Amino acid sequence: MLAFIGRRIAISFLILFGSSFLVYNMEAIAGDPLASLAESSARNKAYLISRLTAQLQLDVPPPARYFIWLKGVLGVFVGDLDFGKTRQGGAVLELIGSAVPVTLRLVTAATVLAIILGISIGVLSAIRQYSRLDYSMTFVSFLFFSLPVFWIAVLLKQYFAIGFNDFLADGQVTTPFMIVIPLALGLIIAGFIGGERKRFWISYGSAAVGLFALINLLNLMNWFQNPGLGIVLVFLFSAGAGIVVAGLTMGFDHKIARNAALSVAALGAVLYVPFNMIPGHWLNLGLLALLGVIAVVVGVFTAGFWAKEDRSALRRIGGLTAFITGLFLIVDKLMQVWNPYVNSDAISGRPVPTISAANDLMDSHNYWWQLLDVLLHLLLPTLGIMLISFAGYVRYARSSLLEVMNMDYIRTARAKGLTERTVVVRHALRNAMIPLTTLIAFDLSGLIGGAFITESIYGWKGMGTIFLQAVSSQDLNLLMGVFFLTSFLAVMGNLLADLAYSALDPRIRMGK
Amino acid sequence: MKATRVSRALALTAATALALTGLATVAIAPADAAAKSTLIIGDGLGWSSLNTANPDENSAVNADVAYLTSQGFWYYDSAPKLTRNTYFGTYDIVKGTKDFEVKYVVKAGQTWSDGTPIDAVDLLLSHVISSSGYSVKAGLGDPSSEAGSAFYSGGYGGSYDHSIVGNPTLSADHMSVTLHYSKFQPDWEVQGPGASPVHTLEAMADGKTALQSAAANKAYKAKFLADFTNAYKGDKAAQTRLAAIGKIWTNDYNFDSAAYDSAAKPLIAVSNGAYLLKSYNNSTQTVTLTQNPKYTSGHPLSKVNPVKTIVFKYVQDGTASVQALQNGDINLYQGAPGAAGYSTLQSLASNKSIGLLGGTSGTYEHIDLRTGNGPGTTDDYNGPFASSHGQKGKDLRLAFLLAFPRYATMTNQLKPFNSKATLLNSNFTLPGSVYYKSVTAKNGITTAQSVTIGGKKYSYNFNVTSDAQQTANEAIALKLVQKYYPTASATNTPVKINLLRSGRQMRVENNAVIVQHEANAGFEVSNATTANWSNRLSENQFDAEEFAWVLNSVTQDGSNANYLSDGANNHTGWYDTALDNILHKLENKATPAQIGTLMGQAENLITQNAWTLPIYQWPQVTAFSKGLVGVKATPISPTYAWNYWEWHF
Repeated sequence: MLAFIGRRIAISFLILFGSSFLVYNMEAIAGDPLASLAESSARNKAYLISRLTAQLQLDVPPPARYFIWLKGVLGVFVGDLDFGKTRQGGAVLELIGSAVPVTLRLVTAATVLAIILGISIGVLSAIRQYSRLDYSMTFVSFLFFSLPVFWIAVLLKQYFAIGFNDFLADGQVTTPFMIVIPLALGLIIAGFIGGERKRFWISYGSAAVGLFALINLLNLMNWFQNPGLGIVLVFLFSAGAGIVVAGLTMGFDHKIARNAALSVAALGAVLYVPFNMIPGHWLNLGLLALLGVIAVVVGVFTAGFWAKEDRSALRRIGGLTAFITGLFLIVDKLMQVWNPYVNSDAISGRPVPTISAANDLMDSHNYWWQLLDVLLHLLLPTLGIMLISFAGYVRYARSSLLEVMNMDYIRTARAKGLTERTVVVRHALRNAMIPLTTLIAFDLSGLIGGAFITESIYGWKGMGTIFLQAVSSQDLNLLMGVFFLTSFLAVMGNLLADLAYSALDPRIRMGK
Repeated sequence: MKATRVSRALALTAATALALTGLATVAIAPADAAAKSTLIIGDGLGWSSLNTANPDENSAVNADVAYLTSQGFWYYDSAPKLTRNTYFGTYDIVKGTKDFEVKYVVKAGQTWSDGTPIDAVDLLLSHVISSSGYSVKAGLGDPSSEAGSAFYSGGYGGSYDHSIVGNPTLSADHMSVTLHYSKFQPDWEVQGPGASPVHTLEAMADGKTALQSAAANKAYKAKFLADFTNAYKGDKAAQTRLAAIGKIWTNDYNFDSAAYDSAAKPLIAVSNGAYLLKSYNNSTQTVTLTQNPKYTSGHPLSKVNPVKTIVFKYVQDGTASVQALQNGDINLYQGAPGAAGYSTLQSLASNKSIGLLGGTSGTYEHIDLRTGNGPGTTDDYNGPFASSHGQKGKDLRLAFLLAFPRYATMTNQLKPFNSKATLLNSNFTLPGSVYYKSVTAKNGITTAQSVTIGGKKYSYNFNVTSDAQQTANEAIALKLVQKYYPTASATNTPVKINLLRSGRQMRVENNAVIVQHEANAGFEVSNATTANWSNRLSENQFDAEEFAWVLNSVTQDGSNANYLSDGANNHTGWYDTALDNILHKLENKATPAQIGTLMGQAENLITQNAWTLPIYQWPQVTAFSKGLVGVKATPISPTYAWNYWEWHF
């Protein structure tokens, strides 16, 4: 195994340096850093050209210049990594250092959400193979898969930013939308409920009517301008989520599991008041994360009290329910600051932005305002990336689970009388996830360099944007810095995927 | 059983009621909508520096921010016309055409934003960053050497550097400097000095970061004057000090990857502009400027709802900029948003949701024909256009220019962006300049010309306004070619032309149009779109070259480098002594009327020689939110920012 890893690492280094040599030379030959000076009508053009030539060492032929660059990179082994300077004179490493967190912020949420959502829908699709849900999910995922990201971005901005902000001006859902939204959403809800034709139409009808009533109610209460959940809805929502979690883990008829989940949700409702009393300017991301961890621990112990047997499963239910309850508490809190946030001078009534990663005019030390601001800026790019990448997960998860479900051991599991839930969740799903691991490992390694277009369209100054800037301004050092980092991560991701594969699947062993 | 059901129903009702009260959280009255005072400008490049004299930091957005944060003796208005800023000071020629002197007087009573009075000592740094002679003598290094000067400045090597004599003379009251030039400077106004807060540079060289007391600032300013004088005299301590200042000047005003907060480093932001740099967020690439309470160095800001805060927000993509403007994420946008973006802007403008100014930039496209080799090489060009072929070369050049699809290019490339786009008809000046009218009246591009072929006179006009006119020109062009290649036709194209063009998208899209129209006149154009085009402009394998010139100033003799026989930008071997004589006259003192006449004559000779034709100015639209008043565009940097004092909501 060690020999295998060593061999792989050696090959990875060869690939890295080979590819960087090729890219460096191709870009150096193709690019023309003096182009903008050539068009200049400056009187001291000759001087400016000589300065730039000296600064970028343009008098050294590209293959030789590569080794000057490589010398700086190899400095990593003597503790002096140097990716050179950008054309603006800053250190490339510093610029990349400031761009990586921006990119991570942009793509992490989107990727995690795409993985969770994609796999769940894929699994559901496989379990209900050839159902209405399966067909429509196949259609939807292929549709999004084939849409270009820049076009999705334009649509999202037009309807979810410009359109939604216009709507917020009076906050009243107009009649056409009041009819269309329940009809569309009802279809989705009914699709997920499934069942025979009659049941489908009943659930469709009641969902549509219920939604229609709800929208009217929200309109009447001016809810869209003054949103909020309140203690009761927070409890109801968390209780509902808890029941689902308990049901999926131990079965819907398992009373103890249900009660454990409900007790955790009730505890969340009790903590609603003290949670809301924490002053906003005390909080920060670390503190909130700490509160989250405490909540999960409390949830684990609360659920543990109910246990007579299956303690660990109950604890899992408790922890997960506590986490979801915490999310609802946060959502409620964000809804409470929504109205003052929207009406603040910096936002002036248009909360959903189309560009930038944060509003620099937002001059508030209230953590909830900052969080809301960051989330709103994340909203559209996250949706865009998610819609496109979740399609792949849906398809992979579906086919992988279908393959596993036809295996002999699944039939054995069914034959010995296990419930379908146990068969799917405990026996099939775990093995179906193995091929997905490689996909996820690839995707995670591609995170850093994976959102070039999205970043540029949403005006985020991440890796993609600085890469594009490097290309357009012929900034070879900067370009190579970004390229080297992304290719390094790709090669490493590949290696890790291979290792994870062999660890997860005992059938795969590294031969000599 | 029944009881349970009733209690369940009751519980449900209670829960619903409670839930509804939860939904209806206390409504908070919206904050009083104060008058808007923040202007958000979309920036497609990414701001990176306050110091635009650093050649690496000479971008358009850096120039805009620099203009808003610092003021000097003059600015360009929307014409563009050079206009004096008498709020800052006055200047005039003191004597002579031979030994040329200009005196710059700083208006008394102005202060930097830290309260330090502005005087003429603040003008001396300009000399340090523009005079190679000073740099060498003051031990800062030779700017043209490999190591360069301690001040990494884009100011060296120009007209100022070549003709300045000695150092500026500071008056006894320290309120004026006099510059001595060895000869008359046709564009002397443009090369005058700018003001820099030298006391802050001295303070930073001392390792200070906080604002200093009035007395300390006074001492620092005196120290700079002493350093400036003594370094030139060879004082080593002063030279080391000045070199340290050079390092700060070169590096500390650049914010490539570092955030900036004026509370932490206030010295960097000290300035005399209407606005001051407040902060720069490097992770969003957003710059925030706030009003300078001590601003007196330029036109006072609008009294009604002035712009108090200016934010530059990074948004690179054209469509994204248009949508950001529509959504109110930005209030002002300038650029070329593409055809789709432009049509969105037009529809928004037509229902009055935004203001839209269709405009042009200072960058213009032109086609050059080679007559010989570029500067510094022996002439061995023997292509179809070579001047060594005499009349044949000239006829073929004229034919090529006649068939060149200027009109089609303009309609295809520009009309989608700017419905009012027109052809550019001068190489020396842009529309709006005081000279443009008189130049185009004389330069032979907009007026009817004639050519005699086989004893018959044919009339043509380069200023094509219809496809029919273009077809007529192409017919004449074909006749010219048939003089030497009798069988030439649209299907038989005997004249092979190798055209060099840079790889810009707009030009690449236009390839086929050029090939097709030139074929009508018997030319076979092969397009050499090459990446390294800029250092191949002088290579004589290219018979024709299409690229752009970028104009940053309105000048009297700025075009000379392109057309003089020994001009540095004369890549295509043009040689005409009569033209040289006229161009040299432009280097002397002349009235505006004389300048217009000379430029017209020069361009006329160029047109007669059939060397080159201007094609169009690059499009640049300016769009702004409904509430913003006073935006006027100008093609020259700082473009839309020039009249910030007229902006208000």
